[in-house]
Amino acid sequence: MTDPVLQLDYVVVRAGARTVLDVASFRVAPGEIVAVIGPNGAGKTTLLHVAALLRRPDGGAVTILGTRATPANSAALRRALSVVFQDPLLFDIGALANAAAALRFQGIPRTEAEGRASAWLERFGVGHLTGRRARSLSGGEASRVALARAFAAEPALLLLDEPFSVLDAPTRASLLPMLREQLRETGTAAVLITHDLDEAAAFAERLAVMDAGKIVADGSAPDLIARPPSRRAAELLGVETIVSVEVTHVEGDTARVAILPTGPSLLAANRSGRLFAGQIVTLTLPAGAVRVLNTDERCPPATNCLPGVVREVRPFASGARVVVATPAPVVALAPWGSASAAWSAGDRVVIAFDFTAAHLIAEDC
Amino acid sequence: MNDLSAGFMEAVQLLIGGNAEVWEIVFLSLRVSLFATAVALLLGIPVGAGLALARFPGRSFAVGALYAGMGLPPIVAGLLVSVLLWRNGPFGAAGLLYTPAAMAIAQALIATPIVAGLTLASVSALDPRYRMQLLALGAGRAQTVWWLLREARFPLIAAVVAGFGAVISEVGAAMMVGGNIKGETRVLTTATVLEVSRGHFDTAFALSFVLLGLTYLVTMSLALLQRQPRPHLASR
Repeated sequence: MTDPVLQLDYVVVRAGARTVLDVASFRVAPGEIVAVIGPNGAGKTTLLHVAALLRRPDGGAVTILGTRATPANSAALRRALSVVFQDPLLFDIGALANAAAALRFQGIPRTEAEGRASAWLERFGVGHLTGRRARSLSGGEASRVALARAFAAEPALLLLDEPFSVLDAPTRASLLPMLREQLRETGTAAVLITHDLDEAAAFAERLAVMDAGKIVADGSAPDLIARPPSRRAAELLGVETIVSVEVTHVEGDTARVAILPTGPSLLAANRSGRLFAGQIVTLTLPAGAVRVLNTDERCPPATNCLPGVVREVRPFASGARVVVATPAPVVALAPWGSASAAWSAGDRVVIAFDFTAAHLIAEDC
Repeated sequence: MNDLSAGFMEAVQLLIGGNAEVWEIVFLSLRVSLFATAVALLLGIPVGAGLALARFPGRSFAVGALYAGMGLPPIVAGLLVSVLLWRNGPFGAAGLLYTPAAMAIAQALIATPIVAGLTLASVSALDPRYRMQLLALGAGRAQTVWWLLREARFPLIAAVVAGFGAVISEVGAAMMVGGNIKGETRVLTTATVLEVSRGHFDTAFALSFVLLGLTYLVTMSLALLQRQPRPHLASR
């Protein structure tokens, strides 16, 4: 079995009396692309610094390609990694010399190092900038040079700390697919730290959600958003419909629940198999699974339908978020141009969602 | 005012006219000061960079002592070197007192804390993330220090200018350990002092103008190295 490129076991980092990182287990397989999301202060950057062997943890083990990191071997192990920080942090020399830096540190002769670095600058579309000084580059150009520098070292793992957060949206949109393509072509594993859930979902095949120094959810983006493991994870994953409900009846893989305090009855999936009548649980519902219907439309089979009133329609780039007041507020995602996006506040509607989309979390009982 | 203009004219005549004694003084001044500055760079840059990058018990005390050393009065430096090189002193056997070597040692003692202090300030002022980036790129300790110094090269040139400026213009230590011996240890500052004591203000002014011109030439050459390309502001 191939060793993970990165493995953190029971890693703890403290800042004074406060624990800023407490990760029981985090592994990245060769070629795997993982995004780490979470709010400010969740410990994302600390996780990256520990993974990059730039900060020694107060407890636990960091293992790179099967070798446990120690103070003695950290410098050698770091050469299997590349890090791209939020700012490109290019040195005040030429773009080519910047891109060749890691290779020069490995003792590779200048001509060979610059030849390899030049090829990477070409791949990131900045081959024409080799003679330019780093300080004269635009933000987008500098980011491309920083990426070329990271790839030139041919790392097994690329660690990215919000590398595009300072760039404008079009530049970011052009760089992300390019970066992903290079990772795929080279089979390089990557960990992307980001605040942006959409960016994380588009970039990575796996999401790790951090909160208060811990990884509170780890899995594929569609799975986590459809079935968050906890209420807090659901909040961090941007699930907008999170409701406390009481289990009233359990039968096989379905459960009937009532929105608290005196709400209507709904059918939900019983995935855990551990639900029982009278239990108070959390129901989560991804916005994409909710449709907004006319009041005279027929409710499809195996579907929960709840009458309500449109409270507001929030416009976003990807579509409108329609907030419907039922006994609990339910949010539906309506793509621009769809009938649902045409609703306005005060309209009487029916919201409909498949019972399998209603996910129950039993942690709160 | 008459002395000033007469001094200026005499300075021109002394240099253009090829006055051998003046040229000898100029070359000795340059030789001693440049050598002292070079020694100060060799000692001061590693000390300053080390204090900027290393964390160890007593570092604050060392930094405080270094900053105090930046204000070391030349006369005190001269006194220390005199005591060390005195015939019965610890290094008296070397016979260096009243030689250009003694003057260079005293001047290096003055310039080293200045260079080290300004190096410490220059390296400390760098964005600490550059150091992290270097480590992340796999740089070893020596490579990290070298790249950081290169990144701080423009403020470091100011350290060279300050070090050279301090030694070329000092008189107390040069007089004390050099003795202002004609043809042997007489430099521009000590020669100026001598001419003033004789009442030859025009000659003193001439030597001062030469000193100013020399300082300007050297520091201007270093300042030219400090010129940076203008950032591409429009696309930032």
